[in-house]
Amino acid sequence: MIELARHGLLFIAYLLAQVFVFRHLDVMNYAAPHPMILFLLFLPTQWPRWGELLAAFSLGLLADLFMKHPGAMAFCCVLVVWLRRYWLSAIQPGMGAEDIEELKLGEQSNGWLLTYIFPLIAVFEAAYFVLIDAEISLEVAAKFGASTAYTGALCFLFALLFYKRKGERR
Amino acid sequence: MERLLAFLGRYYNLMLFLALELFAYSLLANHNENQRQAFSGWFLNVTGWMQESNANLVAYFNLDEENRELQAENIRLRREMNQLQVSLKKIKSRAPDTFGFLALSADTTDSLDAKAADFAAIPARVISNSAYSNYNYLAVDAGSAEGVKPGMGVVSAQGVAGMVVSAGEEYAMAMSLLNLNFNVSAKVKGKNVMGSFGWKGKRADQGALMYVPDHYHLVPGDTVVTSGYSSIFPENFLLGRISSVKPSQEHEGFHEIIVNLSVDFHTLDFVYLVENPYKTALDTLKPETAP
Repeated sequence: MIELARHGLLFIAYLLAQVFVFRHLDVMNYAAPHPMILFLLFLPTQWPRWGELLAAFSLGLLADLFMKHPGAMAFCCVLVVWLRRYWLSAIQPGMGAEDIEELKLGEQSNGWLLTYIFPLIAVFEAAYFVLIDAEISLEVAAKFGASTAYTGALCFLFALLFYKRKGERR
Repeated sequence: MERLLAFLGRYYNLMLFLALELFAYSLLANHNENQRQAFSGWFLNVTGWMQESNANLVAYFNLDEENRELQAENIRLRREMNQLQVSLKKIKSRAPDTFGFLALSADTTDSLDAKAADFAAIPARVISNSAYSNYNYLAVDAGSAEGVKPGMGVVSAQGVAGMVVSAGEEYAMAMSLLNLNFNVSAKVKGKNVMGSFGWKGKRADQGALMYVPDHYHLVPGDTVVTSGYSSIFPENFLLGRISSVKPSQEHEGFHEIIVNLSVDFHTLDFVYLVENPYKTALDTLKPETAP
């Protein structure tokens, strides 16, 4: 119950930070930071998938209320959370579903964290910019690249500060 | 039932994922025109592909009949071409007798006819069609990749069939002539009586020529064709033949003219997508003359 409340507070903190701070920190309309997806990437792996999906959908939808393209964030958050388990299985060869549930994300090495975070952020940003621009073009590719680097760097930094440094917090 | 429950129990996460994604995308598409168009283009391509596959199968069993229809159309076109060539020669041969006046007239007619005949015609096959509602549409297997664009006319060997309203890359959707919203400027061939042609929604084989004043003498059997005044259809595409003429109850001083449609929409298959050669000029003029 305490864990749930803690994640509830984290949910609100990430949402407020995204909407009131990071939404305004874009660089020349190209690099847009979306560090709130770190909340989704560090959801406990013991959670049921429907719980993860609903948390991702809620977070995305609430963030969408403040965006010009309602639905885009919700779509991308749900997509990333859905792919997360498959990606974890892929980068932890030999691990079954039960092993994944035992995986402590905060105790992994920096290299592992980079391998885990960046591809999922790339998927998020690719889906997001293709959705809101409704096309695949050089401009979208530039936004995707810049935003992936920006969000990835922020997420890695926050992961080191708030998750890894304190070890297991779940 | 048990199997269904077992299936739902096994795949409920996947179904929840798909439902949430679908809901999020529909939210996006409902609030943004670009996303809506991208989705309709994608949806049109997918449904078009499925309908085309179905139409391919049906067409395979109807190849003989289709070939016969195409041959008949080729013969008709060849005859029409020959008749036009004969008429042209006649006009030119009369030129010296009229001190050049007819020669000038013939040249002018030539250039106008050449331009009017120079319309784009893109062949296509009907892959989906309906004739049973008040607002019928048909889908064809040609799209923007072939040059199809909204506003082009759809004609078959028998006559006018509809008008393109949206075009995906490979498929296009057209408003059928059997649609209450369909209207086209028309005239009675040989008499040059103008009117507006539309469908009244009762029978799939009859339309109506409207707004023709009752002092014009029209009889059953007269041919109704496009006038070329709308920006959609070139002139002289067959719409049908008049089946009855009587005083209009709705509009005093006008005829009520019922027209037997030339196109049988239940067997419609091969069509051409055409564009009025004067479309650009007509479209340019519209905003200046519109009230």
